[in-house]
Amino acid sequence: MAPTSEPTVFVVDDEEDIRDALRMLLASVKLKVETFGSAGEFLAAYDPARAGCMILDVRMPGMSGPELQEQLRANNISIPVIIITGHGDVPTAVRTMKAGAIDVLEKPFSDDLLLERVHQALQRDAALRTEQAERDKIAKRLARLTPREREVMGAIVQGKLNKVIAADLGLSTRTVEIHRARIMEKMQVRSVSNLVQMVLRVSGEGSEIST
Amino acid sequence: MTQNISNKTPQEVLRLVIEATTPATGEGFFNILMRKLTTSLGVRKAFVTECLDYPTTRVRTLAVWADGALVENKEFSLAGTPCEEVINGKKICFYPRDLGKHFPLELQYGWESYIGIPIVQPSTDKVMGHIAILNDKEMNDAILVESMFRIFAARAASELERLYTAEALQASEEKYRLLVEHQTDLLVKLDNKGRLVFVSPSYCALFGTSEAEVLGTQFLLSVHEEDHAAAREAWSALFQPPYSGRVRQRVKTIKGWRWLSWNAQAVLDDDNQVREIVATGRDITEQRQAEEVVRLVAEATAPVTGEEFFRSLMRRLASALNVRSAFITQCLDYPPTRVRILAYWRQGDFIEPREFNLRDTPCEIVVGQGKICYYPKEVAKHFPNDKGLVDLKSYIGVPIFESSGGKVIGHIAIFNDKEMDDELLVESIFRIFAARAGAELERLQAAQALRASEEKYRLLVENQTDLVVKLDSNGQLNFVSPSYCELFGQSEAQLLGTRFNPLLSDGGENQPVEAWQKLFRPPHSCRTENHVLTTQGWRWIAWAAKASLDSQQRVREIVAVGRDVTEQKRAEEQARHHMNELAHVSRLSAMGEMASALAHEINQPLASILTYAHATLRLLESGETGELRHAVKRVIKNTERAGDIVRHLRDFVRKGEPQRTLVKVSYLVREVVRLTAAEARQSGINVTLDLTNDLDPIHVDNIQLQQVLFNLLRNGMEAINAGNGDKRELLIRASQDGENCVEIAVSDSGPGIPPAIADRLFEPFVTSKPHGMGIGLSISRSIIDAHGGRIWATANADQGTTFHIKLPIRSDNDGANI
Repeated sequence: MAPTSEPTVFVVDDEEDIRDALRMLLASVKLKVETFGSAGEFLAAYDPARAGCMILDVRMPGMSGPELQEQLRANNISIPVIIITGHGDVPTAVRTMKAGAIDVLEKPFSDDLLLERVHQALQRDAALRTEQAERDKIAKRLARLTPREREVMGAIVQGKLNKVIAADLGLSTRTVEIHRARIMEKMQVRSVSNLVQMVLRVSGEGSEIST
Repeated sequence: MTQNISNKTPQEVLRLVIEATTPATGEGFFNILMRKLTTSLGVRKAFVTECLDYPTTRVRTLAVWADGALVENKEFSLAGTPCEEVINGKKICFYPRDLGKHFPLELQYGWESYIGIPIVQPSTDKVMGHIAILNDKEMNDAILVESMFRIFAARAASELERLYTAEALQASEEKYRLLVEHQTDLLVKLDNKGRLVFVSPSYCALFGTSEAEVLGTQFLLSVHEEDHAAAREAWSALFQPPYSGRVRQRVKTIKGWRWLSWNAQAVLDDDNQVREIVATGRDITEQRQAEEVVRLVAEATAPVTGEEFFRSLMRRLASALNVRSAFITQCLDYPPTRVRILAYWRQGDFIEPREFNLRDTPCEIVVGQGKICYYPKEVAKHFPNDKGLVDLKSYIGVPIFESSGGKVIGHIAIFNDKEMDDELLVESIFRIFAARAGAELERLQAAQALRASEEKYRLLVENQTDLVVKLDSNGQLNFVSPSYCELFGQSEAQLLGTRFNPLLSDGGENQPVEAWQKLFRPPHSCRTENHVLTTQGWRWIAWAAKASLDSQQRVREIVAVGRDVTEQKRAEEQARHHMNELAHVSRLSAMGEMASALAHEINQPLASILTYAHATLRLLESGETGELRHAVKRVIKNTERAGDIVRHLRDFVRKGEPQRTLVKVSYLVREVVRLTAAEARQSGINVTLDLTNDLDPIHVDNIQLQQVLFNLLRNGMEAINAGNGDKRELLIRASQDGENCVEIAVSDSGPGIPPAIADRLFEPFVTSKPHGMGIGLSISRSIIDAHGGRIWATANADQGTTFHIKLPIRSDNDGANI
């Protein structure tokens, strides 16, 4: 899962010449490029672990660009997408932007604009991947907690005092203190505020943390 | 000479006539007929004439046979000849002797006897000519000669009327042959005293005796007393040269009185004395009856035609066969299910003719299967549903065939309340009637058709502004209508004998010469149009010409009818102009509707070009030139592609005169599919092509045809978009129908055509589309019509609609659109 590989620009367009021209353009700025003639071809070859971004055509036989975009989202794949279209109809633009597209570029597009968007997309991908790595780390630590420790941690994050926690859980204050020390150790934090930050960072994904 | 005549029975005459004349027509026919007439009647001269004027004063011979040779034809005046009496009196004239006394003029030629018979055209009852024979000896046996003569005259008349009775007569002749062959000859041998020394079993059977009983007894039969003299004469003839004799006599047998014909020959010893006599006898009772029938038919029907003819025929038939009813019908439909009775003789009276349905009647077999149907007894049992057969025992029906095609055109039937026997006789008599009736029936039909066409022709000539000309086979005018003279400002005299250019001249174009050649091969007709200078300026004349042929199928003359079609052409021109305008507008508006899809179509190559160009620039700047050549090539390719689309669009919306060229169907279809590809892609419609290989190219206006296909494809797509079906398929098929037609079919998977507009689909301003104008299909139809083709729609078996176009590979309308 380590995003160590060189980022790649994935181009999906049914027009061969568009693919080929984009390949040349991106290669001219030393970007790694892979091209695909259809959504299906891309899905078959794509490994979500690979860093990069995507340039996606709207109208294609079979699965369209927006449909592919939605399918990736549904599978929790958050590769940044730049939409290119032969014909910028507003509803499609809105739909793809809402779905998280970096931008919608109308053909024919300027190379500067496209490259700028590609770089933005790659930055976003890098940021997302860093963030993801962080969250993975926290999740690993959380996984080491015992159920009781998780219970206690939830109460700590809510700002409850040891006494109150002990009363709530029917434990002695001493026991709660021992749990707290274990939690701080396992989560590798020094202060409760650090712990709260860490838990909030992952609260979007792990349901077991919420109360 | 009398001997000579009586040697020929009417049957033999009939056979002779048939044999002699079956394959011949026209002049050859009459030559043969006259020769046979002289030989069969043993006379010196026979001739046939046709009248030259009316009332007739002069005739022309069609064939003259005299003293064993053909004599040159000539015209002669009737005045002072017996022929005058024949033709103007419309009757048979018979001068068995002393011709010179009545007609002193004939005396110089030494003629003793004369018989003449008029040839009457049955339809008009007019005398067309006559047949006559002359001899330098007396003629006897008036009845026999006359009845034979009638047969010849009837044959001649039917030839003059061009009736094809030969086939039918041949059928009856065939029956005669059977009749004769089935007879068992009697054979006896006598000594010179007239005692029987041999008798055949058939003889014993006929007279109810045995060999033992009669051998050695005198050959004495109970001969009818009227025939005694003839018998004595024949007997004495055996004892002098040529030692042979023939006699016909009525003899009493165990079957009652029968007609027997005896042919006897004496066998001589070395001293030329009669040693014994061999005689063969034949029962000719049925033959006599048949002869009688031939005579009756000839006599009864020669002067009458039409309904009267059929009535007379039926009455004679009933009486000849001694049956209760006889009727004749004409088919009303084909295949026949109903017939109309033309004449119905029943129990001594005519009853009102009516139509009837053939179902469950014996007539159904006769007419439906074209065969003779014979129920000598118990006919009612076979057809329990036929109420008309109650009380009846026997039935016989004979189909009447069209002489040329063998199609059944009617039938004759008789019923009787007694059983019938002697099938062969009845049938052969019947055949004679059917043959005669068939000829008349056909003549009637032909006369009707002729009258109709005459009427048409008369109207044509009378009302015309139409031009009529007649040409000989070299293309020279031998008739011009007044309208023709008027139009070209020339007199008849100036025009006759000149060549008729509209059909002949090539004038730099191939068409007129081709038209001329068409006249010399079946169906010997042609059409052509010419632009000619007339007294009214340049006009378009459309000519329809038809050749008439002689008996050797050579072109005899050509009749051409011309019509000034200038106004018509002008109107057509205008209509075509309007259609072109409308078609153009419709193409423009279609392009308007498709603008966004087309923009996309052009955008694709533009986007490629721009991106390649940018990449190229960057590569140049960075000094990495490896892929530059490739990029530039792609730029060129894409620029060409964009240019193609633009050019194609421009062609499609171009306003120009229609121009027909040979176009490949696959090219047409692919071009249109490309035009609509963007839209199909946008709508997610799958377009499939099924083009048969090796389609012949068609001669069409490329753009107009593309427009039709374009309309159909877009209609199909819109129909698919209008429906909610998951199936989004457009199928275009092209196939060849034989050598003549190409069919292109466009099938959609839409919801189908609303029934409310289904039958008005191709009318203008009829549409099922919310924003449609309703002119696409109407223009499409105009275009297809102008190409001589057809366009129609059918509902698909599963869902949607298929539009079909059928186009001739070589359009006859080519000329019209130039």
